[in-house]
Amino acid sequence: MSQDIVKKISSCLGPNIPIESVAQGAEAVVFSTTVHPYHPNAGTDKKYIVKYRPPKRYRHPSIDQALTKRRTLGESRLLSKLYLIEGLNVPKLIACDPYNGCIWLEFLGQELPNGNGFSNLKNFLWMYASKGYNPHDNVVKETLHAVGQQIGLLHWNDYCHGDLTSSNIVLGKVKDGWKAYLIDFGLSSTSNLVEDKGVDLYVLERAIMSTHSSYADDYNAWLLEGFSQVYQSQGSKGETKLKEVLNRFNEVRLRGRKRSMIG
Amino acid sequence: MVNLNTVRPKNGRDYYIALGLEGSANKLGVGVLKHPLLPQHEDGDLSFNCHAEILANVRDTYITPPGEGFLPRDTARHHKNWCIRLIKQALKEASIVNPSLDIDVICFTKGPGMGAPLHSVAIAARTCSLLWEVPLIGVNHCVGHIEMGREITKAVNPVVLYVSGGNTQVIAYSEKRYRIFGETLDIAIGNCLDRFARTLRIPNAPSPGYNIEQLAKRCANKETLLELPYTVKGMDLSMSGILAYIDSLAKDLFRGNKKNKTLFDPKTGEQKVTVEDLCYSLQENLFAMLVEITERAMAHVNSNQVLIVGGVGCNVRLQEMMQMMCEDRANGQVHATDERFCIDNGVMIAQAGLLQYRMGDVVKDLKETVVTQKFRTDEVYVAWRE
Amino acid sequence: MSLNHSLKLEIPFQTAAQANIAKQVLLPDPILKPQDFQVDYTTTDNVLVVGFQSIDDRVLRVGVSSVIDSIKTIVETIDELGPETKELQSL
Repeated sequence: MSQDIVKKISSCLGPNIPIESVAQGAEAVVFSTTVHPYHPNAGTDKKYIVKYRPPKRYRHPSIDQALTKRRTLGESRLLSKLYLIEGLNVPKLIACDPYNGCIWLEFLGQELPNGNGFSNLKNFLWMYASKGYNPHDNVVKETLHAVGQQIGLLHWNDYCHGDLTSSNIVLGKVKDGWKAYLIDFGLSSTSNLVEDKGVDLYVLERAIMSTHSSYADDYNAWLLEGFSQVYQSQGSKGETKLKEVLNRFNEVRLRGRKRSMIG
Repeated sequence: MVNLNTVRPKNGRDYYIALGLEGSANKLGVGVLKHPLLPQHEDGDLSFNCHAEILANVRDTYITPPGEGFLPRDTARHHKNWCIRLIKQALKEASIVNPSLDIDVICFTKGPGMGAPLHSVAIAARTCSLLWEVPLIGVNHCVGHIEMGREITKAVNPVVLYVSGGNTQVIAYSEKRYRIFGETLDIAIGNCLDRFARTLRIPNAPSPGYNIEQLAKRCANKETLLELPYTVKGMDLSMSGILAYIDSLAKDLFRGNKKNKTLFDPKTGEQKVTVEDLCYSLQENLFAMLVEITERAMAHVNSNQVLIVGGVGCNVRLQEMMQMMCEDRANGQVHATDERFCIDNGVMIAQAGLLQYRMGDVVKDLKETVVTQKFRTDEVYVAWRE
Repeated sequence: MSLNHSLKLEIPFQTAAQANIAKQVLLPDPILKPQDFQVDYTTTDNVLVVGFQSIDDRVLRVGVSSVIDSIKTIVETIDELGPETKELQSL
């Protein structure tokens, strides 16, 4: 990561907040810190995430400023609403600075065993696809069910994620398995349109197919099982809505494949 | 282990020669390509470094009047008229006297593309194959772009942004396939630019968006940008809404519709926006979206290289923006080619086809040479990479 | 509807081998609507014989003209690029 970005974020945060780089995503750079932004006596035993959207030199300043503000603010507003939904696991919002593109969040996840990296779904699936592991292990199935349920719950409440990939799902170890958290809501929106939900599911399916090709069919089936369970638990109204979403998902998928590809 | 020398050159030669025929859209291209037979290709993932030598790269474009798109039938007629002449010219440039002896394989575009133009080139390819008794290979057009880009730039394992008249895809290699990570959900970038060029009644030659790029350069007021929809969806994007909006602006501008407050000052009626401004804003907006989805794919697959291919890939502004994005990523590198290779050509078909041929792939029944308009990049089994 | 509109084309080539090449090149492409239009290709010595059958004269005309277009390309290829072509040798 470039020093330039670290300098910029440090100037936004002020001098007394030590940060440690965690990851560089496409849009944002993620740091961790032990300092709470406005609660000086919170203690230093807790970790927090600072998510920073640095200005992108490649795009026109007016596009850049508009996007940074829209996405930072949008993500914060959404997170605060999503956090209140029972059963939905998203990081807790602590603070937000939309003009500088900064968000403070609670820290989620941990390191996977045996140096397999941070516990997002991507690394988790890669770990179980690697030597010495069983990609069809029950824990994989259960975890993907849990992830599917989170997405189902999100859609059921008329929210769309907009960027579902295996990198944007974080797993936290619990007693007998893994708890799934959805993160990265920069492209998310409230929407009750089946089209948006269908596209959401399609984007995830494609991300799984391209990133976890060998076992994608099973993975996608398990995700969809978890997704469906949420709707099915809502009685006949849920069943009807589920059918609508899945039908549209199929349509979007066909559209994607049929779309003519002229050289 | 990949052995690129699985099939040896003909007649004990120490090099391969491939003829490549491309005609999936309005460009007809014929290329002759030479690969030396090298021992290091017997084991290892060296398909990006074939020491390829281009013996001929000729092209003829079917040009339509400004404001018109190219229709399949007329394009096919163009290709039929020129195909044989172009093949002769390419053979002459490559100093090939006896194709039966000198050519190892004939490569042609099997798809994707427009059916009729693809078919007319396939007919010529089949006839040459039977006439000269030289094997045939059907090539995926998109894979042709990728392989030519890798060979020219020596990019080992890049994230590929493929931008042309008919395609907008972000591709990365994984487990024997070029997988599509992101793509347009509606129209292609080149198509979007072409259609806007048609609205402006400016020509589409030599490549999609070239004339829009020229107009955008002349924009006098680069500080302010017209606000256009910004429609990135994960690693996918959508462009039809943007086109519809900017088209309506252009039409209002030509009509002098003073009610449009974006274009005209509501008090004085003075024109605030020029055609150049429209082109500049459109380009900035669309390319920012392209660079963003490319960066998303890079972050997702942990790659630091980008390769831009396809007709829109010649756009200098796009290359510049991509460069800036990469500079801000650890060890980021951008690879791009110039218009000889970005724009559809025969050499790229020869490059991908020859790699396929060297791995032992060849048409066994002419039924396999039936062209297909829809042929996804990830359908091709990439035998020549680890 | 029956395929009661028909046409037979006989195209003489210089050699039987050439006629056979033409047949092989034309054979693989599928007919889009086999219930409306049918083509068969045979050779007799150096002559390529193409038989067309169609439901009406419009479909017949379109189909025949497309096949003739392809034959033109084949003939041109043989003329200009065939091994017998002196011109190529002297290029």
